[in-house]
Amino acid sequence: MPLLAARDIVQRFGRQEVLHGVSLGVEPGEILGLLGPSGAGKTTFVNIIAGVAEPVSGSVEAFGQPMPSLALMRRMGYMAQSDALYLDLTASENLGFFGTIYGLTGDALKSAAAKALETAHLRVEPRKQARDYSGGMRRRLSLATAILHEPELLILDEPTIGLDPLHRVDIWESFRKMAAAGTTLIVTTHVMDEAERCDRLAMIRDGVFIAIGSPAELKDRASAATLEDAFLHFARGEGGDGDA
Amino acid sequence: MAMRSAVAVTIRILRQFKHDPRTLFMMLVAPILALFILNTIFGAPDYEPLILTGDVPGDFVTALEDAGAKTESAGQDNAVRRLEDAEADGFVTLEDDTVRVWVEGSDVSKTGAVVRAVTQAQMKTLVSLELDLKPVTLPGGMVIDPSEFLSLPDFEPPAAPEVTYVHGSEDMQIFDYYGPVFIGVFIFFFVFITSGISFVRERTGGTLERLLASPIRRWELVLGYVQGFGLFTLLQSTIVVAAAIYWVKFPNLGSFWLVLVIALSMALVSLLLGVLVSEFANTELQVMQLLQIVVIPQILLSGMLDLSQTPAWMQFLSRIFPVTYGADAMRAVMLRGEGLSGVSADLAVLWAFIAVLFVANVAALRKYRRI
Repeated sequence: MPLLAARDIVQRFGRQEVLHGVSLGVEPGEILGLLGPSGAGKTTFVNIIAGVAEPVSGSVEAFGQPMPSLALMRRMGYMAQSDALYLDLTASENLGFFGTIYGLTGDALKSAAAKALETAHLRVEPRKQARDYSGGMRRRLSLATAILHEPELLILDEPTIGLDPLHRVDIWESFRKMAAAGTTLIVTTHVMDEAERCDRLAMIRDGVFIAIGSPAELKDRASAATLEDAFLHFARGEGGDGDA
Repeated sequence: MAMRSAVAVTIRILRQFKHDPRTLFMMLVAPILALFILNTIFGAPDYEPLILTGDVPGDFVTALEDAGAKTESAGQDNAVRRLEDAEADGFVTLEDDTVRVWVEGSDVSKTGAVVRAVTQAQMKTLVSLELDLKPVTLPGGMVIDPSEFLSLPDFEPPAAPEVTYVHGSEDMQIFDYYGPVFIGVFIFFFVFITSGISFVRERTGGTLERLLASPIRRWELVLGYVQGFGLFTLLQSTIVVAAAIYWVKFPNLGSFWLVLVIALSMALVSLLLGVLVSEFANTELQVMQLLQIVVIPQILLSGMLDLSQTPAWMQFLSRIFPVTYGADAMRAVMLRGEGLSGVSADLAVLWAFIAVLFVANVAALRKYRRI
C-alpha cells in the first residue's frame, strides 16, 4: 500500500486549470522526485498533498487515511519553495517556534534542533537574525525547521535552490540517510543531476505527469542517454505515461 | 497541546517586536507625539486678528483692541490691497453712521474673529456713547439735561451670564472635547497598520502556508495573534493613555482603568480587523491603501465631528462602525466621569465586534485549509 496516494487531482486558479486530474502513489522509504520546468504544476501539486491547498476535485490519502487531517500533518514535514522563515527572528528562535507547534519542548526541542541543524549542514550564530544569513544558509535553516520533528513523510519543494554545489551534495547525502532510516521523501526539482539521485521520478509538464519510473527505467524507455533527453522524449508525447 | 501552539505564536510575535525596535518606537511614540502636537495647537491662545481701521472714532479703535484685535489705521484703497495680499484680516470704517467691514475671507475662523471683535467694539462704544450724554448749556445760560426729556433705554453693559457646568469646567479648551476620541482613534489606527502588515508578511513570506502545513488549528493561529498583539497593545494603550492624561494633561473625570479597558477593546477590534482586511492585500502598500477605505471613514464618522445635523444614512453608517462606540465610551468616561455601568453598552458592542471578527478570521483561513 502506498504511503501517500493522490487520485485524479484537478486544480484551477480562476479559469486556468493547472492540474488536469493527476494521480501518484508514493512508496514508503523512497525518494520520489517531481521533475519539471517551472510553471508545470509541481508546487501546486505538493501544496495539495501537504494539505495546504484544497484541490477542485480528487483525493489525497496519507498513511492510509484521507487528508487533510491534523493528526496526519503532525507526521509530515513540509518545506515550501519560499524559505518561510521569520526573518526578524534568530535561527534558534525560528527552530524553537516551529518545534513548539509540532509539540516539542525543553530538552527534546534542544536536541531535535541540534540534530536538524546537523542534517541540514548548518552552523548557526546565536544572536544573528535570519535576514542576515546568506540565501543558501536560509534555505538550509528552512530545511532544518521542516525535519525538526522527524516526520515520516517529508515534502520538499525545491530544497536545494540557491545552494552551492558542495552543500547540494551534502544535503542529498542527508536525504539518502533519512530515506535509509525509513523516511519517505517527495522532492521537487528542475535540476537533472538531482533527478538522477531519486529512486523514482514523476516527470510533470503542463499539469500532467508525462512519465513515472526510476531514472534508469525512464532513460531506457525513451532510449535516451540523459534524463534531459528522456524528458524531451516524453514531453513530445512519444510514448507517454499510458504504458507506464 | 492546543493552547501550546497559540502560546508559541504569541511568544513569536513578542520576540519579533523585541527584534524590531523601529516598530516599537512607532507604535509607542507616534500616537503620543500626535496627541501632544494637537494639544499644543488647540491649547494656543485665541487668534488675534489684524484689523485695519479707516475713518472710525478713537474709542472704537480702543474698543477693538480691548476685544482682542490688533489694529492699524489705513486708507480704504491701501487696506483693500492688503486684504487681497492676506496681510491683514479685516478693514473697518464708518460710512454715514453705518459700520462697514471688509474681511480677507479665506479662513472662516479668522473672519469670525474679525466680526466678533467689531461687534464687541460696537456694543462697547454704544454704551460709552450713552454715558457721554451730559447736560448741555445753551447760549444764554439755559441748561438742558436731555435725559429729562428722553426716556433712554438702559445701556448698562450686560453682566456676564453665570454658567453652571454639569460636566466639564470653564477651564476646558476646545481640544479637550476631542482628546478622548483621539486617544482611541490613534490606538486604532496604529494597531491596524501593524497587525495588517504583520499578517500580510506572514502570507507573502510563505510562513502562513508553512504554518498551515503544521498541525496548528486555525483558531489557535488567530488566538496567538490576538494574545501576542493584545499583550503588546496593552503596553501601548497603557503608555498612551497615561501620557495623554498625566503628561499632555487631558482632563479625565473618570477612572484611568476604565479608559484603559476601552482603549484596549478598541485595539483588539482594530487588530482583528487589520488581520482580516490583510486577507485582501498582497503587499504592505495595499494594507495602507485598504486603511484609507476601512479606517479613515470610520474615524471621520466616529463622532469626532458632530454628525447630529447630517443625513440619516450617514448617522446610521456611523452606528455600524466600531470606532464610534469606542469614541462614545471614551468621552463618557473622560468628560462626564461615567463608571462601568455608563459605558457597558458601548463596551458590549465592541466585544461583540471582537467576537464576530475573531470567527470571521478563523473562517477566512479556510481558504487555505478546510480543517
